[in-house]
Amino acid sequence: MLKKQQLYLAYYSVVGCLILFQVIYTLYQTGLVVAHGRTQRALENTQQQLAKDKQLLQGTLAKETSLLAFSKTDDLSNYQLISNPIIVDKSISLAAAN
Amino acid sequence: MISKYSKACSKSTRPSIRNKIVIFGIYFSLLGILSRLFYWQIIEGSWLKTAANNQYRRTLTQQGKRGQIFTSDKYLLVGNISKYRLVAYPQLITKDSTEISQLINPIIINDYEPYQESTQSAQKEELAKALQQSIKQKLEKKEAKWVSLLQNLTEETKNKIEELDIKGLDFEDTLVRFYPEASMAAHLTGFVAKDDQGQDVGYFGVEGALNKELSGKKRKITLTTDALGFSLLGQKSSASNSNQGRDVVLTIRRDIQSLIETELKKGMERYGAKAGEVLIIQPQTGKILALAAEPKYDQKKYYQYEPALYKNPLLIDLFEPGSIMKTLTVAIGIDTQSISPETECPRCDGPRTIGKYTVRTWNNEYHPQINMSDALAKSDNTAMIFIAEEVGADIFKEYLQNFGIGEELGVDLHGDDDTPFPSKWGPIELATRSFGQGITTTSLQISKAVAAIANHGQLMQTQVIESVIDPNGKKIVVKPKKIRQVISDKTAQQVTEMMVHAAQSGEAQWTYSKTHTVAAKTGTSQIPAEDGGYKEDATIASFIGFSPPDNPQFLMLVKLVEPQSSPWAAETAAPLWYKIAEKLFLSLNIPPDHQESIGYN
Repeated sequence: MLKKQQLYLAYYSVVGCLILFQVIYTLYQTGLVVAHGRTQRALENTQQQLAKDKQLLQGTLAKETSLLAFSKTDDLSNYQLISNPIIVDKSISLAAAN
Repeated sequence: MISKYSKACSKSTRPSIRNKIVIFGIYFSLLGILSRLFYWQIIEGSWLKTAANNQYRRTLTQQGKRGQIFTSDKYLLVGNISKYRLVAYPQLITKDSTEISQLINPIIINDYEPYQESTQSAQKEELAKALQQSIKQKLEKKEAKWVSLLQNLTEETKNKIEELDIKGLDFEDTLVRFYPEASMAAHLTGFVAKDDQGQDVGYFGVEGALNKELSGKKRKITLTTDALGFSLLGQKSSASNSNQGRDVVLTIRRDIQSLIETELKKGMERYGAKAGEVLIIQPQTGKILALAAEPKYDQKKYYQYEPALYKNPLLIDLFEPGSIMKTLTVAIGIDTQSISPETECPRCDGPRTIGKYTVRTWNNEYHPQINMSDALAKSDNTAMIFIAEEVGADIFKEYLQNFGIGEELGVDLHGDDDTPFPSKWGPIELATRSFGQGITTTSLQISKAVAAIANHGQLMQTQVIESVIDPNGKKIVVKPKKIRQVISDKTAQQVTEMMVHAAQSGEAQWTYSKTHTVAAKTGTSQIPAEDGGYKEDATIASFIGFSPPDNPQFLMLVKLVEPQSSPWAAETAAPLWYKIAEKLFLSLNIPPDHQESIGYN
């Protein structure tokens, strides 16, 4: 009679351990998935922010290098119109002259 | 006799009523469970599934960013920029509305369009006061859950307001089109507006023609969420940039585009023209290097302009090309061996009478036995009639069609289509069409045709797209495409020489380049009147040419509509052409081939 009870106890202990292990393992796995999802979300947010920053920088660069900005900031009267380009077709260097 | 033992035995082998009831109960319960399962899983299953999904799944629609447009020298022409709408939740506001409006007004006022556009300080002050009052009133609407305070705010303004940390204020962001070069190349780019469903759609130009390529794609994302609605497992991550639109690189160069836009505007003022066009293409490839038309519109504020201005006049507007057509007539004559540059015209000693019509030259001067080279230089109508008559209507018509007159260009611009090509080709029609009257074309068509002469007789497809770049960085380069050989290389060379002669000794010789050899032809055409005939004293002055003639780096068309200073192309379009060309020689690094310039020893 006692032997039978001991067998039952051993059997249910093993089953209990297995269930407990399964529960812990499942929780651990789910935790990993959730953590992975969170990391992914954080990375996505960073990526979106970086894309936004890149766009902003691209816009700023385009604004600052636009011909419109150049004509506003630069005094064009400082430049001479090139109506007759100067063409240097002969060259005598100083070395050659000496 | 049955013993008491046998009675007991028979009692135990037969199931008692209680057992039967228990077994029946078990079966009945199982049946009940099965029927409930059937009810919940089969009959009510679908809505339960939906209800469950609604609880832990969330579907988002993500609209990808619209592609950007660049010039061939990699400058941004049309981009995207984040703009913000300042919104308030009046029920959540804890501060006094007057205090809030006083705090934010000096910050947001710089993004308030009427304020920016105003030049008078008194008016500016009034606008600032009105805006502050309007914000205050909106904030006091305590019954409203949400109010919009001001839209189109910049990132900088948003950051400044966020620093104030006012409870109940928030921002909604949206991407809008951004034009760093203002209205540059408006007729090429087109613009973006909303359709009847409130979606961004490209209209006209490249935005219209390549709307599908440029548009960001819509993507539905299903997320598994926690009780607060936050994404739990991160399904959002898959191919996050694949729904963005493709970037487009145009063939135009920013510096050349800016140059022709500036010079066209100045030229129109100088010659008092109602409208004007300048087109520069690369004859060997058919690439458009620059395209400008006046009057134009501002893509950003397209709604403030007449819709007629949205269309690209170089692509849409039909005009009688006039004498620039003579380059094609001469090319057809030489290619069919009907004439050579030295052929003398036997029917050029006076006006020509064809049926009931008399056809004269533009200046009523006649040159008996004029050779074809001089005839092109003097823009002699009677010589052109002679060529067309020698060629014959059928072949002449076929050549014009081969030159692409009346044919769609195959260019990625909204509105590119076939244009009307005349069907009746009687003697008088043939005569007038030989010098560019009674036939219509567009600026892009005639330029493409003359570019074939510059390109050894090969007709190239006009191209405005250099490449398309997809969101993953993959570049699809659009290669130049030869359509057909229209005339032989030899013919093209002979016509080029004739065009050089025309430029050097024709009506526009006074403005000829001092440094570079140019092959060109003037064209002054009349404008058809609505009631038939032609308008009095109203002309379209045009000048088309390329340089250097032996290896053309550019072909340029200048067209002025109804110039007031002079009706003649030689006095309006030609000097403007040379003025632009002078700078173009430098931009394209074309060395001079003859010199009246200063030589330094």
